[in-house]
Amino acid sequence: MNCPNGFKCIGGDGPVNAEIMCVGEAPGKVESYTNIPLTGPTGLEFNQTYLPLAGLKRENVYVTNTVKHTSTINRKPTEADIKMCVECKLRSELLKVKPEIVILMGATACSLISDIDLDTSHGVPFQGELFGWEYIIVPMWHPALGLHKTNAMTDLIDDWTKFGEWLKWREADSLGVLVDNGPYPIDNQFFFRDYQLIKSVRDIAEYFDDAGGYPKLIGVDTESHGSVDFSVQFSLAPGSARMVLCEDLGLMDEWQAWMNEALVCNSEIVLHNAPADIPVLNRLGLSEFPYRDTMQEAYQLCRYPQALKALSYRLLGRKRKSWSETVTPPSKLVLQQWLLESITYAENNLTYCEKRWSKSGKPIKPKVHVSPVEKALKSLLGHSISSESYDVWGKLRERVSSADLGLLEEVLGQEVPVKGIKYCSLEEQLYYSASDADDTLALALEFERIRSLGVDVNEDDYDAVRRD
Amino acid sequence: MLYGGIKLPGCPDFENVRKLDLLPMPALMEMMKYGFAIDRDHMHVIGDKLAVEMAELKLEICSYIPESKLEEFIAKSNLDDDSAMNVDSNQQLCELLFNTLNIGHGRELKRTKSGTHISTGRRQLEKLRIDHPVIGKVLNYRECAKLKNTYADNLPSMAVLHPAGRNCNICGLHHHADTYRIHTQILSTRTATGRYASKDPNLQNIPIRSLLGAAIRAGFVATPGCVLLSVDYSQIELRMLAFVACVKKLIEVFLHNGDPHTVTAMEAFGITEAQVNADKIRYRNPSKNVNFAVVFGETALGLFEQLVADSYGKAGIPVPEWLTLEWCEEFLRKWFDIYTEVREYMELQAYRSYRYGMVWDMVGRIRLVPEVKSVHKRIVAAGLRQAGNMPIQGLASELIKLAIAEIQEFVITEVRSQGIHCIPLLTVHDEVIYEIDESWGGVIKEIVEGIMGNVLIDKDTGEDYCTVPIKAEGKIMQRWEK
Repeated sequence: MNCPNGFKCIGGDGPVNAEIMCVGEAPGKVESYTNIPLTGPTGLEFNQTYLPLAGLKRENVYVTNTVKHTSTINRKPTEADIKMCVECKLRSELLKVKPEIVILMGATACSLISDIDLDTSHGVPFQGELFGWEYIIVPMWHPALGLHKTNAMTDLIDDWTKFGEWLKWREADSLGVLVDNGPYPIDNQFFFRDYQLIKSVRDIAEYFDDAGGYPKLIGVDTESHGSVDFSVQFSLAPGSARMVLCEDLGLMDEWQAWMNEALVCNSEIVLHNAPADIPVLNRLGLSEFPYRDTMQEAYQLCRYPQALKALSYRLLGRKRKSWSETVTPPSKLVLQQWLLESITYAENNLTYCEKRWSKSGKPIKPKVHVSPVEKALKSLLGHSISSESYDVWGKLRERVSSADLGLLEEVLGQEVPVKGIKYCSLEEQLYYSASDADDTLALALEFERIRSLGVDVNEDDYDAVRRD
Repeated sequence: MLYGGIKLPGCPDFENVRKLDLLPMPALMEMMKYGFAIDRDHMHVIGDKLAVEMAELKLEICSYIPESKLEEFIAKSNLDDDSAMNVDSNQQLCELLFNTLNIGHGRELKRTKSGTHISTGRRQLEKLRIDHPVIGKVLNYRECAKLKNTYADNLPSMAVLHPAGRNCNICGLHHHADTYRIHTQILSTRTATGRYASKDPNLQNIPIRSLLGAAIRAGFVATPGCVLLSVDYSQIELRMLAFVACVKKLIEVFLHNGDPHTVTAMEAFGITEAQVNADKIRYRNPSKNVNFAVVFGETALGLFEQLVADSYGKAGIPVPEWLTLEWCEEFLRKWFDIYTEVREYMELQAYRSYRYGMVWDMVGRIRLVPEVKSVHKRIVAAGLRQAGNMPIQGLASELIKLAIAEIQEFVITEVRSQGIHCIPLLTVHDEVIYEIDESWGGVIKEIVEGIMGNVLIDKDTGEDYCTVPIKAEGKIMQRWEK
């Protein structure tokens, strides 16, 4: 393959009219000899383990790499490597093959499309854009992952098996008879999610009334802002949830009374990562209650992620913003305001002008001694405005001593604003927090269904198998 | 029914496991809330000792640099002090070990991920330990550095002050004096076998075999007026192997309170107990290693490396000629001939792995074995080894969970209700640690040992489900020591 940069390059392999194109990372040692992508130990696993699970054969798919040149052997390709190869080769390969489905295998290939979080979305097809053209994109773990971290094979096997089911479903769906999303969950259960802020005692009573009394399971989640308890959310039925703000002590008491009554009537609380929520609930007046923990339940079933958002996506088909994505932008604005005030204080109080005179006694331009704190604060403010990903909280603690921060907090009468839910709009607070309680309940019900299926163990033929 | 209505169904049972995992949570949350008191001065002293030890080891390692190469090394070391090389730099270490001293010459050595250097990772160095004395020093240096950086220097700053007085605002307890406590996070959803993990800081991997590692542990203390009670299951995994795989000979040994390692040695070498006792290093040590190696699914190579490193390398004893890879292969084969039921048990786990893609322990916890689908034999073999280990290690971890839950109920209803101070501090694999009012240490120890030992006895009928006696041994101490 010709390379404008003079490297040895390994091109793609497979039929040019293939429906499916698999894009890997970069050639390895074996590929540099065979000149064919995915032919080493990883290729063997890919061809003989994963492709057959999806009912595919290597000769029917087009296989290529994101980075084509062999200079990346034994190292992870850099952004420059990717840019160099993608621009001149992958784009033209896509034009040549015109696949319908592009499988992006591994983080390097997935980096071609922004916003792919492999942990959450591996194995789930979606309609996406690559170089301006529309394809069905399937993000997958790289098959080499299973060689290094063998427990990752569970995900790889499940993903390729489901992908095969999805291909069959898609074929049937081309006749226009199917409405669901094949083996993948689809979030079409609720066109309207009933999330509300509790404003009065009546709101709580009405919600329980609407739910038909005390349900068997109640999804509960708590939110804190820094070290302060901020709100509690509860869901009595999937698709609905209510939020109570902790600062409203009267409503909190009422909520606690209703919950205690529900617990007496055999309701069970469902939490996600219970050790984080239980101390908060204890402070809010609920103690020693029966509960379930959906994080533990995901762990016990062995084949699911444990993070709530990833579980929501993979089991309920709900795509949601993470905590960090939700709270960072508004929190950053508040921090920037605090930095501005701090800078003003530092300019007026920590920076000083040194008056100077010439040898003849004539006053000359005074020398300004800018305090290191002011310099650091200005730099932090600049970086936080110019870069979205800049970790301004981390850098602030790194660059400004705790003594200086303490001084600023004292004179401004305000602590350094932490990243937290309080700074989001009420609408955002409600949607984010209520979704957590709602999803927790929905997951508990889904896990209950999965558990009830059990594992059919029949070892009657074991002796015969052993003899063979 | 066991404690909390838990059953032993012997097949996958998610509901049973769901209930079981929730049982010890109140105790675990107390452990995280109360924290474990540390002696900060002790940690500083250990930190200083480690610094001295590291400096000495550094000098010894540098003394292996040939004089002709000394200037070259000094130029590369880029250090302000007068040491000839930076022992913390893998690149410089690689230069010394593999290019200058030619250690491992002619053998296939693993390279780093980038492929530019020969790896100086622990596993590789352990294999080369017998080739050159400098390897032992490098390994010791690394252990000291880890102990110093991760524990001795770090723990005092991670400790949280619980002020003297009533109703501590952190844990709600009454403290007689200011106490610094370490609040680790105990994670119940991280391991494949159901064991607990710990982080920030990880208190489960403090090395205890070395003296300095043990000294770090000794920095964890009881508060004034209290004692530490540490209770652990004795040889629990071997006992569970005997129980789960119905290994008649091992069951007999445990029923008669015998030593399984001596019996293994007698059977494997065809000698008497007196002969085993006369040369324990030759006979008992390898037997002990094999007994545990089988539980952990170790290969002959793994066993060989373990024997070389543990029995000889660390003790500084020259490796005898008879100890070869072939000897280990033969010994493992003999072991399976003595305990034939274990071979059958392993076959059953392999069958389950292929047929259901999973194995399970007696309580019903599953572990997936996707490795058996691989085309690579080494991956399949690794998966099958884990499959063999899981039902044993899994059951051992279920026992400790049941025990923690039952002890917690006893603590709340029988101990604290009488105003006696008793709090759970930590669990590390098959060990649980409590802080107790010193005058009650002995009494509570007996009861806790009893609860732990009877954990597989039916709470309704009194029937013992376990064919092997389960033994828990408690120890009362001021400092956390082995």
